[in-house]
Amino acid sequence: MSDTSIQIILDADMPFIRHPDKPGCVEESRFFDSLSFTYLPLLRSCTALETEGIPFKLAIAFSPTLCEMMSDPLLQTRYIEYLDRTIEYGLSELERCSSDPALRELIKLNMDMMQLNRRDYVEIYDRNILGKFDYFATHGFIEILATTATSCFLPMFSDIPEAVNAQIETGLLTYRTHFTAIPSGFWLPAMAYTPGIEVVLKSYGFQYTVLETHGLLFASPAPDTGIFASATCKNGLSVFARDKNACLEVTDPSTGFARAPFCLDTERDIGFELDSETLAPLFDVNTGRRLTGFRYWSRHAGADGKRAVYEPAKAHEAVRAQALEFLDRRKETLEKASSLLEGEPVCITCAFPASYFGTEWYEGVAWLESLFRQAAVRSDISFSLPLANVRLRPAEKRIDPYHSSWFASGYAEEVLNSTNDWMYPYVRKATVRMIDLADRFPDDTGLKERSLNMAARELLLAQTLDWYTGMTRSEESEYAKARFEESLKAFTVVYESLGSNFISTEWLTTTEKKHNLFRDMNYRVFSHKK
Amino acid sequence: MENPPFNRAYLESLSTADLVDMADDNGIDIPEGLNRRFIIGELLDLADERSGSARDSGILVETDITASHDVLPETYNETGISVLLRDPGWVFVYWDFHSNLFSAITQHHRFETFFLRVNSLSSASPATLIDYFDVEVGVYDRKWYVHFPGKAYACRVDLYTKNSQEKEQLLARSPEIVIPCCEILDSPIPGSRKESPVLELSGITVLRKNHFRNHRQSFGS
Repeated sequence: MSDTSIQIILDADMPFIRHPDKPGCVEESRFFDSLSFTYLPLLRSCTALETEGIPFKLAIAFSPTLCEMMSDPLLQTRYIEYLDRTIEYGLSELERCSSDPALRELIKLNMDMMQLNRRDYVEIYDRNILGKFDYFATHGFIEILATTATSCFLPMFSDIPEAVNAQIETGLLTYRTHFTAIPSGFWLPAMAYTPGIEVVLKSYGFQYTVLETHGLLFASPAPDTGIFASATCKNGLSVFARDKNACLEVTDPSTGFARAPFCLDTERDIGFELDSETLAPLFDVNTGRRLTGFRYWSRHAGADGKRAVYEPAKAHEAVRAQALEFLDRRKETLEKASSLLEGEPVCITCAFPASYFGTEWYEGVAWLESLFRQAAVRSDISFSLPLANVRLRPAEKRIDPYHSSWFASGYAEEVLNSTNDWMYPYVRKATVRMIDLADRFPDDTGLKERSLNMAARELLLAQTLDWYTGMTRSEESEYAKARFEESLKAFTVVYESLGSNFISTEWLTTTEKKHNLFRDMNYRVFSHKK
Repeated sequence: MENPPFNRAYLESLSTADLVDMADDNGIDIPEGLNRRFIIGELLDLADERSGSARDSGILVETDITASHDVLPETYNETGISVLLRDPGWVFVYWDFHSNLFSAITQHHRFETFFLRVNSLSSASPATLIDYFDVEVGVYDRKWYVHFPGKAYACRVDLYTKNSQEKEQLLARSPEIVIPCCEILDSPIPGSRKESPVLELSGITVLRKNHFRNHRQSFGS
């Protein structure tokens, strides 16, 4: 490893969305999109790099909810059905566009990709793609970080330590179910930090976490090494700071790489453009329009002012140029940092939502692969994993990081505003009640234990930050509200049933089957630590 | 005959008149015009009290009465106040009342208003009061965003009531929360503060400028 490196961390997260009684709902299709356009292509890239002997290093934080969805038999079956429908629909789309050779090529491209996805998913991974990520982790290519059970914005519960413990312990339990390593790093959902979290993380044996840039630069005292090395909290936990500016080069909504003119315009999908009858074989538009993967237009207009047809070869070349540009800029910064720090090892941390690559930015996975390929043939820059960059320097000043998150506000405005603040009295009250239940029923078994585990599961789901951010977006707010209320009501049913000593086992079984995540849930994670 | 489960699902299926009767039978004094959710809260509190430790060791019994909640409760029937930090300049405050207390206060002929007292606290142990200001809130308000000025170490928000003659009365006190402060943010004017070259290369100048633009109210005067 050279002394100047980049570490890339992907936040692979999705809220738990599973509706046994509503096949084909639009929310569930987003999970299928992430498999088709992000995770399966990413595994293909990793496999190609490994086969060709090209070194690559990537850190990923898989949220337990996403892991549970990826390993759920119902969703696995539905994903295969979704792929089959899409491949079959491609034939009718070829017919519809029979007079346009350029569009036909793009239709074939999408059909090929879906067929490849189906082959990989069914024949190579046997529906278990996490197993392949685990393989790359055990072979030193990937580092998998642990995170909370549901993507919980921890600062909102930092005054209720049992809630934070329950999120972390359940997250760890799920990590052990799906991965073989012992996690060294912990991913804070939304990189949301509030003082004191470092103490909890250290108590669970984690060595490092990642903060937004200002979490480290506004620390007291500011770290001597800026954002170019891990800093150490007073309790010994290491923290990296994301280089926000470097990340914005990639993801900025107006100037990021995905906005380049040659890129595929992922929003101009036939799922949003064709009439309901034409789309009927794919989905019922009354259940919500969605991506289909059939997209034909680039982001720029042609010479005649009309939309230009997407040209994959041109896009591929341009992605290589973008990767080179990114590497050159990081190299320049790292050289300066290395010089200022008198030759100390330096690194730049780039953290992104995983779904940005492939799902939002179609060429994103190819860009990542190109980064590794180009870095492999140059000696001035390399990629590294966070654990290798954790360094404790004896003379280093210990720091107190600053409140921060990776939201645009830098703090909590996205999860605490007039659209979602009504949720906190409920969820925090339920949290306090759950702790009370865990303390009152420490050794219960049978139906009572089942009920308590159900309550704990529903409470963790109600703490999912996507419901809170979803309330601020009109197209998502109805679903977010329904999911939050569903979990809170289910929790309340158990709470009151334990008060009255009556419970409907029919209801309990139905709810367990619907929200079948965290099979080894143990409600005692909410107990006061003695 | 089996007694019905004394839970919210069952109580919500009863008419308001039946609820009032049930409260009466159980010796609960219900002020006139009280919202049915408060009555249900009172009955559940009573059930909770009566079952006590016996319930904790009780066996959960199966029932075919389907548990359901159409709506979330409007209140948990407890007097209390909580504070959540939104950013270094703003906190979110929410509170609630016990139905009896709320009725007793608001139906009193001298009742005037409720208000929040926002206290700035020092970092000393125990914390000492540096300053405070009051925010008048409506009778039916249950939440408020409060801008937190100055450079206090921590804040605490108290819920008070005031009547026309007597002194103000404290109803609830929030836990103290630490307000983020950062020396580096004290001089937001570009050029007014010299940073180390490594921090400059890390982007501290732009960060401070952006932070000042977006969160200027967080800076002390």
